[in-house]
Amino acid sequence: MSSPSTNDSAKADAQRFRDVFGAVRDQVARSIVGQTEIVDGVLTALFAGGHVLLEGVPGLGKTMLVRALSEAVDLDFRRIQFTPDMMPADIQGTNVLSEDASGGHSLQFQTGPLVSNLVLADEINRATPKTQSALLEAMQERQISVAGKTIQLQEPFCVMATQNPVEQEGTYPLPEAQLDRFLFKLVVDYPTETEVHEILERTTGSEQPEVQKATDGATILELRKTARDVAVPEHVRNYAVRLVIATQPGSPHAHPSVNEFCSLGSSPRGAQSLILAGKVRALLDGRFAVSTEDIRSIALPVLRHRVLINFRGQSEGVRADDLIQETLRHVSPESVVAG
Amino acid sequence: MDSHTESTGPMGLPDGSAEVGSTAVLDRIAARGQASRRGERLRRALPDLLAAAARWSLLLPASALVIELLRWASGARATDIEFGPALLLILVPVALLVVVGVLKLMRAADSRRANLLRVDRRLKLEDRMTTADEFSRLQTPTRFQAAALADAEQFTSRALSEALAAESAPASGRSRMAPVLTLAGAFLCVFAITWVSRQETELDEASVDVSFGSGGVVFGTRDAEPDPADEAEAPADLPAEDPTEAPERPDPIRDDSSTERIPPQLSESPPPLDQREKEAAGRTGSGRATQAEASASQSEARANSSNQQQSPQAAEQRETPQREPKDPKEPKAERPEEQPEPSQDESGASAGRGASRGSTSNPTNSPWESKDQVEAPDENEVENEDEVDDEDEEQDARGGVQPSLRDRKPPVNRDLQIGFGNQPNPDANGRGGPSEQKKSRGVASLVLGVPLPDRVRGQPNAGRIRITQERILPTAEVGSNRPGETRGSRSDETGRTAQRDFDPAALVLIRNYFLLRRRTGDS
Repeated sequence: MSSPSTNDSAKADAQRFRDVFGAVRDQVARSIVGQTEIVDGVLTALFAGGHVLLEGVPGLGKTMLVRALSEAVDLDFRRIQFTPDMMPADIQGTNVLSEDASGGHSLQFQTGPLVSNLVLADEINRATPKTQSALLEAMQERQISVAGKTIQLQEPFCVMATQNPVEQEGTYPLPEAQLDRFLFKLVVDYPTETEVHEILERTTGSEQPEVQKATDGATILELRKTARDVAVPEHVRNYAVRLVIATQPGSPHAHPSVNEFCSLGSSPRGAQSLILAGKVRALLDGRFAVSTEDIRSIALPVLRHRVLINFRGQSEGVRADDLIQETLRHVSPESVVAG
Repeated sequence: MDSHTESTGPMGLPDGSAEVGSTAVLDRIAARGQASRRGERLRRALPDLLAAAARWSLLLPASALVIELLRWASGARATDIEFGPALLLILVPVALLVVVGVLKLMRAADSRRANLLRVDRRLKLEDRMTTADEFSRLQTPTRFQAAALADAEQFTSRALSEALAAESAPASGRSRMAPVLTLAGAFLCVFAITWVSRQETELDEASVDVSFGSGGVVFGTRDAEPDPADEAEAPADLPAEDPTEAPERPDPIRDDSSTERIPPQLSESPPPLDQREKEAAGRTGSGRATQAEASASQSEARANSSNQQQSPQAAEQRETPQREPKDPKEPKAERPEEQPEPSQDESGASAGRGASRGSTSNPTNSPWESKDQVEAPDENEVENEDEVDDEDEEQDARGGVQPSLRDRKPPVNRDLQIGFGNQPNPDANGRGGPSEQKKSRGVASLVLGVPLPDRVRGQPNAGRIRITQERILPTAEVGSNRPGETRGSRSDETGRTAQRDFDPAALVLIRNYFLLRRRTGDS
């Protein structure tokens, strides 16, 4: 058996994780009323090293949430308002002709807003696929290749994109390759009546809430390492893998509704995201190993954008959330353990 | 059932256990999980087990009942069956099947991990016991694995002592009632078998012989086997006469005591001669029960009364051949008094007459399917109100949407043909022709090939409409999944074309091509 000192160090790291996470959450909560699940989801993605796609109608505070988060974590923050005429060079950077002190001219690389720690890609589905694809390399490899050079992005790097489910005129839905790179897709819902009262109380008065710095980039990197140290039992890993395979049509574990209404299931990135987000959730719950309940609790935001509904499912109003819920009922931890 | 208390030591561990990693503690927790799984499996499987046992128990009594009924119907002697032993036919298989099923379920073993996971999920321990069982086997656990083991130790007392909540599996009322109803059906089958057997026994005991005068007629059970002695005595006792004459004799004495327990079909006398004639005509309803015979006689009486009602018509039909046949070709000269005025007959105008039926030669009285209305004789003469009622009923049967049957007349003959040679067309009356297409008069009639659809008042279209309703269940189309592909623009922005059909070079080439053709005059 391990020594008590190792146990204590793990407990200390876990406690620190919870403290920092709570502090950032409290600061964000000063600006954002309610939406606790959304705030926890965004913070989970930040501490797990993933990216977040926020979907919701206008006016629900998606942009404000990301801005408040950037202030709370004290990271370099850039906002990109995506438009149809935006080109990849507009976000990655390009060579510009500059004049030096001697009067000569030279090409200098001007970095774009993507070179930052926290990037808010506002209304990302309004950009053309060409511009959207410029994010692919940055989101996965944490680097951008432009103008013959490769620029390593500074960690922590996190893309938080927003999109509007309505006003689909003139939008370009994100390709599956890019959707797969988001750890979470969080659906922002309307606030409750009490929360609306609180929003009015905070925003229509003379005093505006100020978000204080709660942590920094280095701490976040350390906490990311702590999260990755969380143990994953074999039966939990089996359950995550079985859950991902069950979303793939034609697989032996897929529910009949998945075979009928789903054209594309989750990739192995989905299983990676389940485990990573499950580790963060286990830490927040005061545990040192991921449980199957952690996997089940984060299955919806992790898998909903990785499941593509086919035409028949769309015509019958089937949503990805419905298929995932059906898969969760179909694949239980006990059935996985029992083989 | 699982709430047994344990004396715990430090860190919540039971006395004598060093840590949660020791397999002894986890074994006890796994045993609890195994017991819980078996209990729940038994609770879930018991209704199905009972239903299956009940189905199997129904098989034997139902088969026996069918066999007994067949034997009874064929006249063979029924088997003497007691209720008690027959009841065992139900209970013994049910009990055996249930016991075997329960033993099979109780002997089924689950994996250790599944049993521990059962405890974790029932007590909401977040998989701590299952995780501890896995991490305790590691030689060099990481710091988080060791922390997980230490964390699990705090929950072992709960895992050992707290009752495992049973998962509620609500059984539907139908599934609960199915075995009960099946068993009730089995009991009913057994009861029916024993009842049939008892009835046969009583009939055997009640078999009597009753003689009438010199010729004795043996009354007994229909199924009774013929006694060879009786067969030998029969020629002596019975005179060689037609047995069908026996019922015609007066019924001297009927032993009521002996006929009380005899079924009616066995105690009744042979049918009289006139009844046999009816049987030959198939009107007596022979073969039915006596109640059915009574109803058959009632229906026969009704038939007689209806024949009486129809007798005047039948008499009229018999008188009809004595009348002169209504031949449409000849009666004009022979019966001039019945011939209506030609102007009224051939005009076909119904204005002012309506349903007065004053004109008997109105061609509109001819059948609808008739092609030639002009030559139609006055055969639709309205002589009585019965026919009018029939027509009204027919009109009602069409749904009542037709305005008036009298108005639903075929068009009058408007044939405008001149005739052949010097012979005028006998059908020509200037009002149309025999065809179903109406021809216009005047200038329109000179235009060739302009047939007009025949639109008759009261008929909303040119002809009959047949509406065929086919009831077909909708079937889902089976299609293969479409592979994922990159989606393009969902819709273009206003005033902007995302994708052109031709590139600029092709557009210039096409423009030059058409300009060149315009210059050369080649259109």
